[in-house]
Amino acid sequence: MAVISIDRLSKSYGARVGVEAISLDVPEGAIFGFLGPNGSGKTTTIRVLMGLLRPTRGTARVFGLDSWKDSHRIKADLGYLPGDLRLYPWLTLREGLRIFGAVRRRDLTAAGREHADEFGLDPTVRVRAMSRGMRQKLGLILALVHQPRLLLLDEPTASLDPLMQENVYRRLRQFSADGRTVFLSSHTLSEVEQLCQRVAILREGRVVMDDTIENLRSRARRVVTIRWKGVAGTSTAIPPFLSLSERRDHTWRAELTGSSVELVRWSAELPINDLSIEQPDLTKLFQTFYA
Amino acid sequence: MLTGAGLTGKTIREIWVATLAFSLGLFAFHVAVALTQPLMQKDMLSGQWLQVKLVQQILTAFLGAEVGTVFGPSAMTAIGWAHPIVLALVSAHAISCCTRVPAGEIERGTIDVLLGLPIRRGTLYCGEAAGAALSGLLVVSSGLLGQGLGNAIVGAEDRVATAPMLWVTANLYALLAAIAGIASLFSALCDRRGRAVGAAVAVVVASFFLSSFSPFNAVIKKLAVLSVVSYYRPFKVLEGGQSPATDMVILASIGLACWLIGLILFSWRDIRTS
Repeated sequence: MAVISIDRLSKSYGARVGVEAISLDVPEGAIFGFLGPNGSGKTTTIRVLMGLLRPTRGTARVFGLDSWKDSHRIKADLGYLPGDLRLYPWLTLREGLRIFGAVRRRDLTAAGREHADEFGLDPTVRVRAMSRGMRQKLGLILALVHQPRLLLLDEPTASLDPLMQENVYRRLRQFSADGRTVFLSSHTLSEVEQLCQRVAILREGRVVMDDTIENLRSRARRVVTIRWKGVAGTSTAIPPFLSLSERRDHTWRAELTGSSVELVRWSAELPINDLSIEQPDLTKLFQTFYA
Repeated sequence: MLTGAGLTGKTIREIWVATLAFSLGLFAFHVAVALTQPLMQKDMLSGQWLQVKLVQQILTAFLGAEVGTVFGPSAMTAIGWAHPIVLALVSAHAISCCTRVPAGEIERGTIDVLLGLPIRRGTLYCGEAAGAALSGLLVVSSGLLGQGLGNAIVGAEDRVATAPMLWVTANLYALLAAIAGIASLFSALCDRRGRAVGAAVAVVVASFFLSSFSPFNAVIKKLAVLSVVSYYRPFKVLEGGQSPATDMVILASIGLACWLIGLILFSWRDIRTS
């Protein structure tokens, strides 16, 4: 079942187009990566899902409910971290848990304390005295603490140190393993690559790619490095399954455009010192969609 | 119920300082008026200047009603309640409280976190209005308390009766509600709090202008019906013994209509990033 279902969604701001006829399905339990350059329509899509913007055309449904009309019902089981997180200067984690708990009709104190320990956040410090990273942690805790079915995260690890980023990744993997869904918008391509099962890329308001990471990996070209014995490389003809990018005295660097079996068969008969095939580089693939 | 309590707690957390400041301001002003009233009244009664037409016109503009040639304690009290400081404090309070949501929240970007909670926009808007209404009641009542304390200190013998004073306080509260409604409407229209405040201040200043200059110009006199300040006339209540019920209904209707339009606009508008 799709937790998020977007069907031919368009949103315009007067003459300017935010997103144009995008369609997406996010399955339950997935960590879904949402990528795209600045101004591609990621934030517009998230704001439509949050019921902050009304679709111009098409529909956006969360848990099968209309994101505009049933927004308040959707949010009962949704956690949201905005990209440009702003919090009340007087807010502390303790006070936030009290207010959010009263609104959500749950006691969030114990769960909040547990998250605070995990993220290393003092519950009594006010936002005005916090660093950017601490504010991000507070935003994450307030989004996570009620154990929602769906997390909408816009750049969740921005301004967090690498150790804390790992903590967040671990928490999100656990979250997904529990059958909950994460919709993750990020500019950190490596983060999406290692966390997400499925990715959609937006460009100029349109979805230009929507596929699983596995399929993308199989599509991504791998870089091959061949070290020749002596000058053999200078006289060897380039096979059709290699696209040469660099040719030096004893070394070739090329993209594998065919299968690795063909490469192994071909190389077995040649005077080669060493041959290496690198892991598929998704970042490069993502960048081709960005450009 | 709990949802509302959570939001009310947040609203109180954010407006209590302003409420306290405006309440103290109004309280101190009325204490001061009550303390100086006997001295001023003596000068007023002994002066011949009340016979001058221009002075009468200025007082009429100031008090919103025709004044006679005799100034008693009721008229003096009315001057205190119609004083521009009182109007400025009440207007500033209403505008500062009622432009917080949504304009203030959008401007500082906190609306995203707030509307990330399972609440309807209407609930949020109503919660803010409830906080502002309670806060306004405290501010307006503090004026009455200030006057009572001042009178007690000077031992005023010919005090104004309680009932007319309560009517004047209620009329002032209705004025506050009208300005609050107008401010809420502008807040629902704007993404910047400064713009909402500016628009609401412009309406209040224009109202004050129309009300103040109506005795001097026939055209302005006709336009004065558009001024919210025209429906706050403590002199008529205290000196003339008239009930301000009609004025209050008009003010409450203006406030309610603007507030409801604001509610509809806020419920249907896009919330964009600031």
